[in-house]
Amino acid sequence: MKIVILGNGISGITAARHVRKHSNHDILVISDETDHFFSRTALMYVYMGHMRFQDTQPYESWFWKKNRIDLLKSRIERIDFQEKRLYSTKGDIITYDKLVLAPGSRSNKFGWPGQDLDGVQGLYHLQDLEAMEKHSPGLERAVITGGGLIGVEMAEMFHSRGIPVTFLVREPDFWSNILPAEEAAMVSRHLREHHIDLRLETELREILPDASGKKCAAAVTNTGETIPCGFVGLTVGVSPNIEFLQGGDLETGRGILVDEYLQTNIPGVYAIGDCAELRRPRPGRRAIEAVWYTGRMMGETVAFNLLADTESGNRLPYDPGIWFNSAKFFDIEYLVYGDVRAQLPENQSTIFWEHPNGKKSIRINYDRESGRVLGFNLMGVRYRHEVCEKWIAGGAYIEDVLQHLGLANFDPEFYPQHEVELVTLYNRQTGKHLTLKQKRGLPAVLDFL
Amino acid sequence: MENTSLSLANPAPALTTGRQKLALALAGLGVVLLLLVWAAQKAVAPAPMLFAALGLMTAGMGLFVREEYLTRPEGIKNNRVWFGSLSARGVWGWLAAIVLTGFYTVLYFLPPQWFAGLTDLFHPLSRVLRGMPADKWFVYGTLYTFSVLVMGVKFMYKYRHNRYQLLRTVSVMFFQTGFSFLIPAFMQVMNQPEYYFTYFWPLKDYYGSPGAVQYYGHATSISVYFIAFSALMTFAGTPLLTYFFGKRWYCSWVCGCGGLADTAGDLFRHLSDKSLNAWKIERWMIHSVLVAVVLMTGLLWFNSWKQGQCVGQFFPDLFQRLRVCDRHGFQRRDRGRFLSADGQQGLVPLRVPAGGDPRHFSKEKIKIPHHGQRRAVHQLRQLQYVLRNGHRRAALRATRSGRRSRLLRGLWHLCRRVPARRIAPGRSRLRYRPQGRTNPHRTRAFGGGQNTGIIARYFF
Repeated sequence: MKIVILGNGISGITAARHVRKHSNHDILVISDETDHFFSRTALMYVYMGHMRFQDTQPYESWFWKKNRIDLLKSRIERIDFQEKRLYSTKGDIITYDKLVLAPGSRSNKFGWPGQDLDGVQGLYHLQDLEAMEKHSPGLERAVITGGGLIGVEMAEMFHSRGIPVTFLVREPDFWSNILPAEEAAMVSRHLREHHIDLRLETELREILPDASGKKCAAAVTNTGETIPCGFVGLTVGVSPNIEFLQGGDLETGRGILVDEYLQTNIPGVYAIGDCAELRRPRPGRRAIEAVWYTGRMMGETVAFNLLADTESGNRLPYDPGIWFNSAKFFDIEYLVYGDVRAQLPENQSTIFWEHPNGKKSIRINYDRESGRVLGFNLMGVRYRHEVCEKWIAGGAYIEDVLQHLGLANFDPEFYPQHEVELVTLYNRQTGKHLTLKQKRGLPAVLDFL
Repeated sequence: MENTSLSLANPAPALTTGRQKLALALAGLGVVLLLLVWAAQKAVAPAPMLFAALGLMTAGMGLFVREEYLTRPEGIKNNRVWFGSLSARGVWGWLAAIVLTGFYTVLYFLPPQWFAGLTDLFHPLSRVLRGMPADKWFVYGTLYTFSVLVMGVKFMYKYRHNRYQLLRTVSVMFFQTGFSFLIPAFMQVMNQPEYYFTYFWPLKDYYGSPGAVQYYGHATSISVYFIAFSALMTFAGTPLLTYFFGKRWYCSWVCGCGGLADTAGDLFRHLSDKSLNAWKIERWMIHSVLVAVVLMTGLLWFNSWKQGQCVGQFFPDLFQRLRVCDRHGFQRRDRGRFLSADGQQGLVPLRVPAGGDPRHFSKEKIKIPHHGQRRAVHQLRQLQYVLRNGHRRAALRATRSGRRSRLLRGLWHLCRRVPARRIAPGRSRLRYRPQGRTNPHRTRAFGGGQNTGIIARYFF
């Protein structure tokens, strides 16, 4: 059987690796972006000089031949699902028995005047990074619009080269449609500490060209201010990269519609990663989740299902488990496990502790009635994923969790431990007299898990 | 694309605030002072000069890193490491590699005279610390420790957000300064054999050999505890600590080698080869070295059990050299030198003067069990004499000034507990007098005068 995977990002490559682990089928991975898989989340570090591009490739180039994963650098422009054929822009025709679609995302553009000028772009592909490099020499200011993860990455990238950044954020604080208010304010403060010119509640209205009419020269905000800049970063989210698939037999919504086995409406054709839109997402989860971790889980699931329905027939529904994500805003690490929303729902309570230095915080959300723990939000403090997940999955009681909070502590050794402060805070707020029974320590964690 | 940086802009802008320029000027002046003295082969006012050179470098470095790191929020600071000329194998990186390799070549392979200027400069410090004149190894050891300390402070500024790194750096600075520099020096003052409490077999292969057990077992009244400690660390301490903490307990908390890598070498650590191939080569190398050390140590013990009839009869000369080479205090450097192509020259100072006769030594207390060990024992006695004699002179000199002399006399009393193995004065003077250039081997090894220290460093 010949399995063709379209896209060599984390989803496609995870699928290929897991198919190879469990079978001897032919595997072909097609990508137009790069020869080899690289870690997209590390692109920023190439620009910042922490790594070279080759250092972002988790597998060395011999890996693919050794594991008989064929690679093809080509752009597919059309797919004939009846004949099971892919047509490349170069005129090649590639046949398949089973197809996995993992073409990823593209950066959003919301129709701003001047959005297609030279020097206006997002950051998703390697080619975006190359374009950023091209515009960097002599750049006197960059304007970034969109207060999300890519926006802050871009700000940090320019900052590392000493290029001043004006950061336009529509919300009242950085990423405050996702982060609770205190955390959002913390990140805003931190950005300003790094001399990022942060403009809150400000939107991009248009981009003005220079004399040649081709290159961006200034950004105009909704407040009427014109900011001269040679670069405008559009980091207002991403959408599934499925233009080339639309209008055919494949059912699409915003993304490629898939069932719980990640299969599209066409048997033998699957879609995973950023481009997949679940027909029936789990409660509290979105239909499209453009996240590294979910892409990896989808890759594993699809590999199992590709092999299962030909051999055993026991298919595996996609189970993303309890939501988690991580990021880094300049020097502040961010972790989230479970259900933590920007606006606390009526039925939830929260306990929030913040370090006096304003760079660390711990938040635990729990059910107001039952006291069951629902989510953790951590800034500048590391909590152990497995422990938090087990607490959330098992519906652990908030006071039990607080008294054993040391189990979750995953900071490096000798770091100050703040669990006692959290318990004290809880006692002060509720008038109870809890004590911390479990401090940080691996043996206890192993017992617990 | 595969092997280049993506960078088109000049990503490493000409930094340097005014204060950083001043800081670099100060540090540069310190380096120039050192180089001047080295080139002049003679130090004028060595004590103030040394203080000035090291002080300028410390002040310059301190000022520079404060300006570099304290002006920014704390956090990981890796920006531009792959763009910098020094840190990314550019012009300055290549130059630094050449200069460092050149320095080590001079250190290992050229005669001590090449270090005359620097040695001269370090005499006062050496006399204070060790009660004897400096030699090139003392110069090197001091500069090494100095680098770990100064660059350790730099590292601590850089990683001030990370308490683990702060403590770890303090630890390596402490072990380098205390256990690899000061304690061995003080032990020489106290007429104890040079011993490193932070090296254990098999890393330090000599400490597991019968020669070491024999030597430390008898050298002084307390030296037997040194070798017992070493054995304890080899067979109990190291396995236990490694089981509980991983190899980092040694490599990043204790070892002077890891200490330099994590302080002065921090700028270059990203350059290590992370390919699978590199890892394979590394595994082959470390395991073959381990096997070789275990085999050689086993062979030495077997030979010892066989009263020297195993190896000694086939390669008496080679065996002799191996044993003596092991006895160098400076394991890293000397092993490298012994294994290098220019082994002959490296071994020159180790040769025993021809015609040495063990009759000059009292034989009551020490058993000389077999032919194979005689020469080594002979040599040992000669050097012990040199050591003791050197200290007696140091002690006498010290009587001139009050507090220091009391200290040294106290130490001298300690030294006197060492059982004396007398050498007939007349014979010994003859034996240790500088012999001119007629016998280069003898001249190198027993140059007399200022070189006494060198001899002692070589053999203990």
